[in-house]
Amino acid sequence: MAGSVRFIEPVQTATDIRPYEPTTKAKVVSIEDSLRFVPERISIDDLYTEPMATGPELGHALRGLASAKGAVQDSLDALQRGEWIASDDAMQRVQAMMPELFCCRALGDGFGAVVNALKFCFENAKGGAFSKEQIVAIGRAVERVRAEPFLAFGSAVEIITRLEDSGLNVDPPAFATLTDLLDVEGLY
Amino acid sequence: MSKAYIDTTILTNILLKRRWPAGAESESALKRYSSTELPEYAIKEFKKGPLAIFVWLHNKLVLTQSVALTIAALQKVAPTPQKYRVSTALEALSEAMRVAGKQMSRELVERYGGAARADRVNCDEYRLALKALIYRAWERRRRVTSYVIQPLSCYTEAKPFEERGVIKLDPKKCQPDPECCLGPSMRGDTIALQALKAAVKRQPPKAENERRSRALQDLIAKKSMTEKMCSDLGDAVFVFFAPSDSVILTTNTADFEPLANAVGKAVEKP
Repeated sequence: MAGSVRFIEPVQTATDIRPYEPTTKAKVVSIEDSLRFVPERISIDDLYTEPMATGPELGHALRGLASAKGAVQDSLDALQRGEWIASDDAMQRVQAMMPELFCCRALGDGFGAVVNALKFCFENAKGGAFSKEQIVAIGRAVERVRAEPFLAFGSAVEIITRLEDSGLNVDPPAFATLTDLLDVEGLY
Repeated sequence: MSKAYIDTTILTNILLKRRWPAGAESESALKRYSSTELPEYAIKEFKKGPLAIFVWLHNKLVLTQSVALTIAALQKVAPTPQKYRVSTALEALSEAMRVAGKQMSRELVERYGGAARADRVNCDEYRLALKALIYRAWERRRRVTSYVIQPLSCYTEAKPFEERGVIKLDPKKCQPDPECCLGPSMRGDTIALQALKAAVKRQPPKAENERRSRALQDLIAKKSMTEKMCSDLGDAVFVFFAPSDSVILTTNTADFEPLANAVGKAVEKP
Protein backbone atom coordinates (compact mmCIF):
# COMPACT_ATOMS: atom_id res chain seq x y z
CA MET A 1 0.00 0.00 0.00
CA ALA A 2 1.75 3.18 -1.14
CA GLY A 3 2.32 5.79 1.54
CA SER A 4 0.62 3.84 4.33
CA VAL A 5 1.73 4.35 7.92
CA ARG A 6 3.25 1.16 9.33
CA PHE A 7 4.62 0.90 12.79
CA ILE A 8 4.65 -2.90 12.70
CA GLU A 9 4.28 -5.80 10.37
CA PRO A 10 0.63 -6.78 9.77
CA VAL A 11 -0.59 -9.66 11.88
CA GLN A 12 -3.51 -11.98 11.84
CA THR A 13 -6.01 -10.84 14.45
CA ALA A 14 -7.66 -13.18 16.92
CA THR A 15 -11.03 -12.27 18.29
CA ASP A 16 -11.78 -15.05 20.70
CA ILE A 17 -10.01 -16.66 23.60
CA ARG A 18 -9.09 -20.28 23.08
CA PRO A 19 -6.52 -22.62 24.60
CA TYR A 20 -3.00 -21.68 23.66
CA GLU A 21 -2.00 -23.81 20.70
CA PRO A 22 1.02 -22.54 18.82
CA THR A 23 0.59 -23.26 15.15
CA THR A 24 4.27 -23.37 14.37
CA LYS A 25 7.27 -24.55 16.30
CA ALA A 26 10.64 -22.92 16.01
CA LYS A 27 13.10 -24.96 14.02
CA VAL A 28 16.11 -25.66 16.18
CA VAL A 29 19.28 -25.13 14.18
CA SER A 30 22.74 -25.66 15.58
CA ILE A 31 24.83 -22.57 15.02
CA GLU A 32 27.46 -24.72 13.28
CA ASP A 33 24.82 -25.86 10.80
CA SER A 34 23.47 -22.39 10.15
CA LEU A 35 24.28 -21.21 6.66
CA ARG A 36 24.62 -17.67 7.91
CA PHE A 37 26.48 -18.72 11.05
CA VAL A 38 24.53 -16.18 13.09
CA PRO A 39 21.75 -16.71 15.65
CA GLU A 40 18.36 -17.13 13.99
CA ARG A 41 15.74 -14.69 15.24
CA ILE A 42 12.56 -16.44 16.32
CA SER A 43 9.16 -14.99 17.07
CA ILE A 44 7.78 -14.57 20.59
CA ASP A 45 5.09 -17.16 19.81
CA ASP A 46 7.73 -19.73 18.94
CA LEU A 47 9.79 -18.87 21.99
CA TYR A 48 7.01 -19.70 24.46
CA THR A 49 5.39 -22.81 23.05
CA GLU A 50 4.78 -24.71 26.26
CA PRO A 51 1.74 -23.31 28.12
CA MET A 52 2.21 -25.53 31.16
CA ALA A 53 5.60 -23.98 31.83
CA THR A 54 4.49 -20.38 31.53
CA GLY A 55 0.93 -20.34 32.83
CA PRO A 56 -2.24 -19.41 30.93
CA GLU A 57 -1.68 -15.67 31.29
CA LEU A 58 1.14 -15.61 28.77
CA GLY A 59 -0.93 -17.26 26.06
CA HIS A 60 -3.87 -14.96 26.75
CA ALA A 61 -1.60 -11.93 26.79
CA LEU A 62 0.21 -12.79 23.55
CA ARG A 63 -3.05 -13.42 21.75
CA GLY A 64 -4.68 -10.28 23.13
CA LEU A 65 -1.66 -8.19 22.23
CA ALA A 66 -1.57 -9.66 18.72
CA SER A 67 -5.19 -8.60 18.30
CA ALA A 68 -4.44 -5.16 19.71
CA LYS A 69 -1.45 -4.77 17.39
CA GLY A 70 -3.59 -5.67 14.40
CA ALA A 71 -6.32 -3.27 15.46
CA VAL A 72 -3.83 -0.42 15.80
CA GLN A 73 -2.58 -1.11 12.29
CA ASP A 74 -6.21 -1.18 11.05
CA SER A 75 -6.72 2.20 12.71
CA LEU A 76 -3.67 3.70 11.00
CA ASP A 77 -4.68 2.26 7.62
CA ALA A 78 -8.19 3.67 8.00
CA LEU A 79 -6.76 7.03 8.98
CA GLN A 80 -4.61 6.98 5.87
CA ARG A 81 -7.72 6.44 3.77
CA GLY A 82 -9.47 9.30 5.55
CA GLU A 83 -11.97 6.96 7.20
CA TRP A 84 -12.14 8.59 10.62
CA ILE A 85 -14.94 6.47 12.06
CA ALA A 86 -13.26 3.22 11.02
CA SER A 87 -9.97 4.45 12.48
CA ASP A 88 -11.54 5.36 15.80
CA ASP A 89 -13.55 2.15 15.89
CA ALA A 90 -10.36 0.12 15.51
CA MET A 91 -8.89 1.97 18.52
CA GLN A 92 -12.08 1.22 20.44
CA ARG A 93 -11.34 -2.45 19.82
CA VAL A 94 -7.91 -1.93 21.37
CA GLN A 95 -9.49 -0.21 24.37
CA ALA A 96 -11.92 -3.08 24.87
CA MET A 97 -8.99 -5.52 25.18
CA MET A 98 -7.26 -3.62 27.95
CA PRO A 99 -9.23 -4.89 30.98
CA GLU A 100 -8.54 -8.49 29.98
CA LEU A 101 -4.87 -7.79 29.29
CA PHE A 102 -4.63 -6.21 32.74
CA CYS A 103 -5.83 -9.52 34.19
CA CYS A 104 -2.57 -11.02 32.87
CA ARG A 105 -0.44 -8.69 35.04
CA ALA A 106 0.94 -11.69 36.94
CA LEU A 107 3.48 -11.74 34.07
CA GLY A 108 5.25 -8.93 35.86
CA ASP A 109 5.07 -5.32 36.95
CA GLY A 110 6.68 -4.19 33.68
CA PHE A 111 3.86 -5.77 31.66
CA GLY A 112 1.22 -4.59 34.13
CA ALA A 113 2.50 -1.02 34.16
CA VAL A 114 2.46 -0.65 30.36
CA VAL A 115 -1.05 -2.15 30.02
CA ASN A 116 -2.22 0.02 32.92
CA ALA A 117 -0.80 3.15 31.26
CA LEU A 118 -2.47 2.23 27.96
CA LYS A 119 -5.76 1.66 29.77
CA PHE A 120 -5.58 5.15 31.28
CA CYS A 121 -4.62 6.72 27.92
CA PHE A 122 -8.01 5.56 26.66
CA GLU A 123 -9.91 6.55 29.81
CA ASN A 124 -8.39 10.02 29.89
CA ALA A 125 -9.19 10.56 26.21
CA LYS A 126 -12.86 10.26 27.27
CA GLY A 127 -13.91 8.86 23.91
CA GLY A 128 -12.03 11.47 21.90
CA ALA A 129 -10.07 10.35 18.85
CA PHE A 130 -6.28 10.05 18.99
CA SER A 131 -3.87 11.80 16.64
CA LYS A 132 -1.81 9.73 14.24
CA GLU A 133 1.29 10.23 16.41
CA GLN A 134 -0.60 8.99 19.45
CA ILE A 135 -1.88 5.91 17.62
CA VAL A 136 1.67 5.15 16.52
CA ALA A 137 2.91 5.58 20.12
CA ILE A 138 0.19 3.20 21.37
CA GLY A 139 1.07 0.73 18.63
CA ARG A 140 4.75 0.80 19.53
CA ALA A 141 3.94 0.20 23.19
CA VAL A 142 1.72 -2.76 22.30
CA GLU A 143 4.35 -4.15 19.95
CA ARG A 144 7.14 -3.81 22.52
CA VAL A 145 5.24 -5.48 25.35
CA ARG A 146 4.22 -8.29 22.99
CA ALA A 147 7.83 -8.83 21.97
CA GLU A 148 8.98 -8.70 25.60
CA PRO A 149 6.10 -9.69 27.89
CA PHE A 150 8.52 -10.16 30.80
CA LEU A 151 10.10 -6.75 30.29
CA ALA A 152 11.90 -5.10 33.19
CA PHE A 153 10.20 -2.25 35.00
CA GLY A 154 12.85 0.21 33.76
CA SER A 155 11.93 -0.65 30.16
CA ALA A 156 8.25 -0.16 31.01
CA VAL A 157 9.06 3.30 32.38
CA GLU A 158 10.72 4.20 29.04
CA ILE A 159 7.67 3.03 27.09
CA ILE A 160 5.29 4.95 29.36
CA THR A 161 7.45 8.07 29.05
CA ARG A 162 7.16 7.84 25.26
CA LEU A 163 3.37 7.55 25.51
CA GLU A 164 3.35 10.61 27.74
CA ASP A 165 5.66 12.51 25.39
CA SER A 166 3.16 11.97 22.57
CA GLY A 167 0.64 13.95 24.63
CA LEU A 168 -1.23 11.01 26.15
CA ASN A 169 -2.24 11.10 29.81
CA VAL A 170 -1.12 7.81 31.32
CA ASP A 171 -2.16 8.42 34.92
CA PRO A 172 -5.43 7.48 36.65
CA PRO A 173 -7.90 10.41 36.66
CA ALA A 174 -7.94 10.23 40.47
CA PHE A 175 -4.29 11.34 40.52
CA ALA A 176 -5.52 14.91 40.02
CA THR A 177 -7.02 14.63 43.49
CA LEU A 178 -4.13 12.69 44.90
CA THR A 179 -1.67 15.39 43.88
CA ASP A 180 -3.74 17.94 45.85
CA LEU A 181 -2.50 16.15 48.94
CA LEU A 182 1.01 17.29 48.09
CA ASP A 183 -0.07 20.82 48.91
CA VAL A 184 -1.23 19.90 52.40
CA GLU A 185 1.17 21.66 54.71
CA GLY A 186 2.70 19.44 57.34
CA LEU A 187 1.97 16.15 55.59
CA TYR A 188 5.70 15.67 54.99
CA MET B 1 18.96 37.20 29.03
CA SER B 2 16.29 36.10 31.55
CA LYS B 3 17.17 33.38 34.00
CA ALA B 4 15.02 31.45 36.47
CA TYR B 5 16.17 29.57 39.54
CA ILE B 6 13.70 26.76 40.21
CA ASP B 7 12.52 25.71 43.65
CA THR B 8 11.04 22.40 44.84
CA THR B 9 7.39 23.40 44.31
CA ILE B 10 7.95 23.95 40.58
CA LEU B 11 10.00 20.75 40.27
CA THR B 12 7.22 18.82 42.03
CA ASN B 13 4.49 20.29 39.83
CA ILE B 14 6.35 19.34 36.68
CA LEU B 15 7.36 15.86 37.82
CA LEU B 16 4.26 14.72 39.69
CA LYS B 17 1.43 16.90 38.35
CA ARG B 18 2.54 17.17 34.74
CA ARG B 19 -0.83 16.37 33.17
CA TRP B 20 -2.87 18.49 35.56
CA PRO B 21 -3.30 22.30 35.54
CA ALA B 22 -0.64 23.04 38.17
CA GLY B 23 1.95 21.02 36.29
CA ALA B 24 1.09 22.46 32.90
CA GLU B 25 1.24 25.99 34.34
CA SER B 26 4.67 25.41 35.86
CA GLU B 27 5.99 23.79 32.70
CA SER B 28 4.84 26.65 30.52
CA ALA B 29 6.27 29.19 33.00
CA LEU B 30 9.75 27.79 32.33
CA LYS B 31 9.39 28.86 28.70
CA ARG B 32 9.30 32.52 29.80
CA TYR B 33 13.03 32.37 30.52
CA SER B 34 15.94 31.89 28.18
CA SER B 35 17.70 29.77 30.77
CA THR B 36 16.49 27.80 33.80
CA GLU B 37 18.58 26.43 36.65
CA LEU B 38 17.78 23.82 39.25
CA PRO B 39 19.90 23.53 42.39
CA GLU B 40 20.56 19.96 43.52
CA TYR B 41 19.09 21.00 46.88
CA ALA B 42 15.65 21.01 45.18
CA ILE B 43 16.15 17.39 44.12
CA LYS B 44 17.03 16.48 47.70
CA GLU B 45 13.91 18.25 49.04
CA PHE B 46 11.75 16.68 46.33
CA LYS B 47 12.93 13.17 47.19
CA LYS B 48 12.53 13.65 50.92
CA GLY B 49 9.10 15.29 50.68
CA PRO B 50 6.63 14.91 47.79
CA LEU B 51 8.22 11.80 46.26
CA ALA B 52 8.35 10.15 49.69
CA ILE B 53 4.54 10.58 50.06
CA PHE B 54 3.97 8.80 46.74
CA VAL B 55 6.38 6.04 47.75
CA TRP B 56 4.59 5.70 51.11
CA LEU B 57 1.24 5.37 49.31
CA HIS B 58 2.64 2.82 46.89
CA ASN B 59 4.10 0.76 49.71
CA LYS B 60 0.84 0.95 51.65
CA LEU B 61 -1.01 -0.47 48.61
CA VAL B 62 1.60 -3.25 48.35
CA LEU B 63 1.26 -4.19 51.99
CA THR B 64 -2.49 -3.78 52.54
CA GLN B 65 -3.51 -4.84 49.00
CA SER B 66 -6.49 -2.58 49.55
CA VAL B 67 -7.40 0.90 48.36
CA ALA B 68 -9.84 1.38 51.24
CA LEU B 69 -7.23 0.55 53.89
CA THR B 70 -4.66 2.77 52.17
CA ILE B 71 -7.05 5.72 52.17
CA ALA B 72 -7.89 5.10 55.82
CA ALA B 73 -4.16 5.05 56.64
CA LEU B 74 -3.63 8.34 54.82
CA GLN B 75 -6.49 9.89 56.75
CA LYS B 76 -4.83 8.87 60.02
CA VAL B 77 -1.48 10.50 59.26
CA ALA B 78 -2.98 13.81 58.12
CA PRO B 79 -1.86 16.66 60.37
CA THR B 80 -4.67 17.82 62.67
CA PRO B 81 -5.10 21.39 61.34
CA GLN B 82 -5.40 20.01 57.81
CA LYS B 83 -7.68 17.04 58.53
CA TYR B 84 -10.72 18.58 56.85
CA ARG B 85 -8.80 19.37 53.67
CA VAL B 86 -7.32 15.90 53.58
CA SER B 87 -10.77 14.36 54.17
CA THR B 88 -12.24 16.25 51.24
CA ALA B 89 -9.41 15.17 48.97
CA LEU B 90 -9.68 11.58 50.13
CA GLU B 91 -13.44 11.44 49.60
CA ALA B 92 -12.94 12.57 46.01
CA LEU B 93 -10.12 10.07 45.60
CA SER B 94 -12.18 7.27 47.05
CA GLU B 95 -15.09 8.06 44.74
CA ALA B 96 -12.84 8.22 41.66
CA MET B 97 -11.32 4.87 42.56
CA ARG B 98 -14.73 3.32 43.24
CA VAL B 99 -15.96 4.36 39.77
CA ALA B 100 -12.81 2.91 38.17
CA GLY B 101 -13.30 -0.38 39.98
CA LYS B 102 -16.66 -1.11 38.32
CA GLN B 103 -15.25 -2.05 34.96
CA MET B 104 -14.56 -5.76 35.32
CA SER B 105 -17.15 -8.09 33.84
CA ARG B 106 -18.36 -11.31 35.42
CA GLU B 107 -16.90 -13.13 32.44
CA LEU B 108 -13.40 -11.93 33.29
CA VAL B 109 -13.82 -12.81 36.95
CA GLU B 110 -14.80 -16.34 35.92
CA ARG B 111 -11.80 -16.62 33.61
CA TYR B 112 -9.12 -14.95 35.73
CA GLY B 113 -10.43 -15.35 39.28
CA GLY B 114 -8.90 -13.04 41.90
CA ALA B 115 -6.86 -11.09 39.34
CA ALA B 116 -10.14 -9.76 37.89
CA ARG B 117 -11.87 -8.91 41.16
CA ALA B 118 -12.66 -5.20 41.31
CA ASP B 119 -10.82 -4.54 44.59
CA ARG B 120 -7.66 -6.30 43.41
CA VAL B 121 -7.80 -4.60 40.02
CA ASN B 122 -8.33 -1.23 41.66
CA CYS B 123 -5.46 -1.69 44.07
CA ASP B 124 -3.05 -2.86 41.34
CA GLU B 125 -4.09 -0.07 38.96
CA TYR B 126 -3.06 2.52 41.53
CA ARG B 127 -0.01 0.62 42.76
CA LEU B 128 1.38 0.25 39.22
CA ALA B 129 0.48 3.81 38.23
CA LEU B 130 2.19 5.16 41.35
CA LYS B 131 5.25 3.01 40.80
CA ALA B 132 5.53 4.15 37.18
CA LEU B 133 5.06 7.79 38.18
CA ILE B 134 7.74 7.55 40.91
CA TYR B 135 10.34 6.07 38.55
CA ARG B 136 9.36 8.42 35.71
CA ALA B 137 9.66 11.44 37.96
CA TRP B 138 13.08 10.32 39.12
CA GLU B 139 14.30 9.70 35.56
CA ARG B 140 13.14 13.16 34.45
CA ARG B 141 14.34 15.17 37.43
CA ARG B 142 17.48 16.47 35.70
CA ARG B 143 15.76 17.17 32.39
CA VAL B 144 13.28 19.75 33.68
CA THR B 145 15.62 22.76 33.45
CA SER B 146 18.45 23.90 31.18
CA TYR B 147 20.99 23.19 33.91
CA VAL B 148 21.29 21.46 37.27
CA ILE B 149 23.63 23.54 39.36
CA GLN B 150 25.19 23.76 42.82
CA PRO B 151 25.92 20.05 43.37
CA LEU B 152 25.87 18.86 46.95
CA SER B 153 29.07 16.94 47.65
CA CYS B 154 27.70 15.47 50.88
CA TYR B 155 24.53 14.12 49.24
CA THR B 156 24.20 10.93 47.20
CA GLU B 157 21.48 11.24 44.57
CA ALA B 158 20.60 7.54 44.60
CA LYS B 159 17.85 6.08 42.45
CA PRO B 160 14.74 4.62 44.16
CA PHE B 161 15.00 0.84 44.49
CA GLU B 162 12.76 -2.07 45.41
CA GLU B 163 13.14 -4.49 48.26
CA ARG B 164 10.52 -7.18 48.85
CA GLY B 165 8.02 -5.31 46.72
CA VAL B 166 8.32 -1.99 48.54
CA ILE B 167 10.12 1.02 47.09
CA LYS B 168 12.90 2.61 49.11
CA LEU B 169 14.35 6.07 48.69
CA ASP B 170 17.44 5.79 50.86
CA PRO B 171 19.47 7.84 51.33
CA LYS B 172 17.13 10.79 51.71
CA LYS B 173 19.51 12.81 53.85
CA CYS B 174 22.99 14.12 53.18
CA GLN B 175 25.97 12.74 55.08
CA PRO B 176 27.93 15.71 56.36
CA ASP B 177 31.65 15.04 56.61
CA PRO B 178 32.46 16.82 58.85
CA GLU B 179 29.63 19.26 58.04
CA CYS B 180 27.09 19.95 55.29
CA CYS B 181 28.86 21.20 52.15
CA LEU B 182 26.69 24.36 52.14
CA GLY B 183 27.97 25.41 55.59
CA PRO B 184 31.19 27.29 54.70
CA SER B 185 29.54 29.43 51.95
CA MET B 186 26.60 30.33 54.15
CA ARG B 187 28.69 31.17 57.22
CA GLY B 188 30.83 33.39 54.99
CA ASP B 189 28.00 35.90 54.46
CA THR B 190 26.81 36.92 57.91
CA ILE B 191 25.04 40.00 56.54
CA ALA B 192 22.77 37.90 54.33
CA LEU B 193 22.16 35.43 57.17
CA GLN B 194 21.13 38.24 59.52
CA ALA B 195 18.83 39.76 56.90
CA LEU B 196 17.20 36.38 56.30
CA LYS B 197 16.79 35.75 60.02
CA ALA B 198 15.15 39.14 60.52
CA ALA B 199 12.75 38.40 57.64
CA VAL B 200 11.86 35.01 59.13
CA LYS B 201 11.17 36.65 62.49
CA ARG B 202 8.62 38.93 60.84
CA GLN B 203 6.72 35.94 59.43
CA PRO B 204 3.66 34.40 61.13
CA PRO B 205 4.73 32.00 63.87
CA LYS B 206 4.76 28.44 62.62
CA ALA B 207 6.97 25.45 63.31
CA GLU B 208 8.75 25.72 59.94
CA ASN B 209 9.74 29.36 60.62
CA GLU B 210 10.92 28.54 64.15
CA ARG B 211 13.21 25.81 62.83
CA ARG B 212 14.52 28.05 60.03
CA SER B 213 15.23 30.88 62.45
CA ARG B 214 17.15 28.59 64.81
CA ALA B 215 19.25 27.19 61.97
CA LEU B 216 20.07 30.71 60.71
CA GLN B 217 21.04 31.76 64.25
CA ASP B 218 23.37 28.75 64.58
CA LEU B 219 25.10 29.71 61.33
CA ILE B 220 25.43 33.32 62.46
CA ALA B 221 27.04 31.92 65.63
CA LYS B 222 29.53 30.11 63.32
CA LYS B 223 28.36 26.63 64.28
CA SER B 224 29.01 23.72 61.93
CA MET B 225 26.08 22.99 59.63
CA THR B 226 24.41 19.67 60.45
CA GLU B 227 22.05 17.70 58.23
CA LYS B 228 19.12 18.89 60.35
CA MET B 229 20.13 22.53 59.88
CA CYS B 230 20.41 21.94 56.13
CA SER B 231 16.84 20.56 56.05
CA ASP B 232 15.43 23.19 58.43
CA LEU B 233 16.78 26.08 56.36
CA GLY B 234 14.62 25.04 53.36
CA ASP B 235 13.48 28.15 51.50
CA ALA B 236 16.35 30.17 52.99
CA VAL B 237 18.85 27.98 51.11
CA PHE B 238 17.16 28.80 47.79
CA VAL B 239 17.10 32.52 48.50
CA PHE B 240 20.71 32.53 49.74
CA PHE B 241 22.13 30.65 46.75
CA ALA B 242 19.94 32.04 43.95
CA PRO B 243 22.26 33.89 41.52
CA SER B 244 21.60 37.63 41.69
CA ASP B 245 20.83 37.78 37.93
CA SER B 246 18.04 35.15 38.29
CA VAL B 247 14.48 35.29 39.49
CA ILE B 248 13.38 32.59 41.92
CA LEU B 249 10.46 30.73 40.37
CA THR B 250 8.16 29.21 43.00
CA THR B 251 4.46 28.67 43.70
CA ASN B 252 5.15 29.50 47.34
CA THR B 253 5.55 33.27 47.00
CA ALA B 254 4.07 33.88 50.46
CA ASP B 255 7.09 32.30 52.14
CA PHE B 256 9.73 33.24 49.56
CA GLU B 257 8.98 36.91 48.93
CA PRO B 258 9.82 38.26 52.40
CA LEU B 259 13.10 36.32 52.40
CA ALA B 260 14.05 37.36 48.87
CA ASN B 261 13.17 41.01 49.50
CA ALA B 262 15.48 40.98 52.53
CA VAL B 263 18.50 40.18 50.35
CA GLY B 264 17.44 42.09 47.23
CA LYS B 265 16.42 39.12 45.08
CA ALA B 266 13.32 38.69 42.93
CA VAL B 267 10.58 36.07 43.12
CA GLU B 268 8.02 35.14 40.48
CA LYS B 269 5.27 32.57 40.31
CA PRO B 270 4.13 30.58 37.28
